[in-house]
Amino acid sequence: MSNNNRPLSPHIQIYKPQLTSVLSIVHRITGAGLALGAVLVTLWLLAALLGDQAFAGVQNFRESLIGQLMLFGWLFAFIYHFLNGIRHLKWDAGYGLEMKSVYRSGWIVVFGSALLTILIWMTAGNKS
Amino acid sequence: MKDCTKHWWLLRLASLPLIPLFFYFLTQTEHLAAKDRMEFVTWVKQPFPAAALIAFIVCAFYHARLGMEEIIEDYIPSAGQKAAALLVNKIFFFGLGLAAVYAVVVIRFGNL
Repeated sequence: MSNNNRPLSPHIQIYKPQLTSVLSIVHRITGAGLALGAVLVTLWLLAALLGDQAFAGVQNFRESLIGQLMLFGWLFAFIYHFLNGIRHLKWDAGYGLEMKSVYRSGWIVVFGSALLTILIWMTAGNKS
Repeated sequence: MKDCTKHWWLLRLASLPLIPLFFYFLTQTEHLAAKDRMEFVTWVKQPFPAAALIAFIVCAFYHARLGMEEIIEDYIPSAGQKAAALLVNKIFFFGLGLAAVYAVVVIRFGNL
């Protein structure tokens, strides 16, 4: 049985944020955000099953300002988590673990997810 | 295999089918964004989109459950609360996945 009152070792308070640590925590944050998005995906599919009124309700919410903000955030989270996830899989396979490579793939994820999010947002039939 | 090793593997295994599914859904955004219900239903009634949706729900929701387990294990120090949160998390994503798969199956085969 472990002691729950153990002090936490100093981590976030003491380390200077760097690309590697920021991308790591963003991976976790986007993952948690996407997990919450699963609720909305389920509501959307259930609305399509339930009827025209329910589906129209979902579409009205999607077209509202908060709906658009959420959808944009969700799209970014999805693309970021996808690209950075591939980066993780590459590491798990034992490749790209040299510092230079870690930073290069990190910047590819940063610019790649920003670019893809904007590109998909502008081209994917999300016209209101 | 140790439980934590198995957990590590399953999280990654569940992410693999999501790679081709990601690209497939990118080609389907006009249907995913359908404003008209019948337009969306017509798309889901096709075999491939319905199968892709179910594969996505199963893999993504399972991956989400495993990922949330990592977060719970890292940030909830009390063993009792941790066990409770893990249980709620498991039931939550299982129920959610069941509801989502149910919706797709009924739309696909039902008389809508």
